[in-house]
Amino acid sequence: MLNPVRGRIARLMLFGRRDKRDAFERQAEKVFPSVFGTALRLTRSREDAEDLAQEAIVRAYDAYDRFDGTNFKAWILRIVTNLYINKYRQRQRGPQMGSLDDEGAIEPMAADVVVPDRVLFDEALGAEVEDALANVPQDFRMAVILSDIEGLSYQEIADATNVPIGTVRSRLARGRSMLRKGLEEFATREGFLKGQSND
Amino acid sequence: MINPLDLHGLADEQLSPEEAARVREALKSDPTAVVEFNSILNLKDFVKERAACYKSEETWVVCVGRLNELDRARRVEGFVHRYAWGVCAVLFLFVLTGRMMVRGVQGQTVQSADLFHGTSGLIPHQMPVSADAAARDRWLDEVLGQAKQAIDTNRVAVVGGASGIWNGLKVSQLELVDNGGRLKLVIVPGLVNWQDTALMPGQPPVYAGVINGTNCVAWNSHGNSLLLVAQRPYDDLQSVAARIALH
Repeated sequence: MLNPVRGRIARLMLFGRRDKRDAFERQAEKVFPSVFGTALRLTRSREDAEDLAQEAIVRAYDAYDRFDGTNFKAWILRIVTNLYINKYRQRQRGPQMGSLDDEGAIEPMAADVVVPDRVLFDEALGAEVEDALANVPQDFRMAVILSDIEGLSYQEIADATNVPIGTVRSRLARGRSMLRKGLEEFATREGFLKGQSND
Repeated sequence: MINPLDLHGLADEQLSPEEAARVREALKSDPTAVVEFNSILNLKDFVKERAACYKSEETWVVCVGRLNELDRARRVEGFVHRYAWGVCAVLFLFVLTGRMMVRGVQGQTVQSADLFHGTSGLIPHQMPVSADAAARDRWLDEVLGQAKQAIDTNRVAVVGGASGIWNGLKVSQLELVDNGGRLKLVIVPGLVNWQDTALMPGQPPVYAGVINGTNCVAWNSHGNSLLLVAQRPYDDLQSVAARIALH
């Protein structure tokens, strides 16, 4: 496997400034839906998401010389989450708490299932997923977004959020559990399930 | 009982091969865990398939605009960083060289009248009592210094001399006598640009002027500037200049 340091040096030597810009723009445009989508899911505000995405792209371009040439999407999403944590997090309303209870018990997802998977996942649409996700507390939501939507590994999520891998696993499990509960509540509220109720 | 985190890890393919094998083995005898595991997989697939794909062309265009601004700023920064000192040095040398050339060609600008009036502050040098040529030469060296190379002192009678500093210039003055009467010769080392004078036709090329109603001619010779003042016509002054100037 190519030494990442050598790869970076070779890239800098071979490419002029214009080539560097072109290379960055090609990679960034390809992953921009992920950048913007993650920003939107984190901030839950279109205006903040646009600012966050723009800032992340500019920061990434500024730091492009330090990119080791491995996973560009994971690298730029790390910038997005760090920017979000440092800049936007304080301003966010809604479910914030999560970190204080990271070590709590993991509730099984299937144990008290009100709605079978088959029914739930057939009826719910993308909008319901986003709404349910928006109601998951921030830290857990971040883990679910980076893992299940953006496909990052546990190590990449740990690097992006500056927490140990054990915390990532815990947050992911709890985030999924909360997400599923949110979808179930929606399904029950909307009456997808005739004859299925909590009564 | 299987750790729920291991089930999530298996679903995410984030366990080591050994851990994954262990969990799969345990699943064979734990139907509750199998249900949980399948539920995790179903949720993962569902979220991945149904999550919205957010595209924002407008935001991307703005991003590209900001990258262009960043590139422009970097280009200017790079140019300034690399070439600013060089450009400054070149400009400085250019100014310096130009000034030296102008000064070399035109020298300091001097009003003939100002220079002449400035000689009133010069310190007179007492002439040697003896008519010894060597003593006279020593006296002339004392008065004129290097300016001695500008004139032939043997072609004119010198009856007095003074020297000093005027406006930063070392100035020498000689009192001369010939058939036409007395003349004053002022010598300044270096070339000056004579103001308030006009070039006369004929040889040598001299500049004619007037100081308090008295005619004067000025010329440059051997790196010195000379001003001859006397109450006589210009062509007479020009011929005296021709006589004493060293060619």
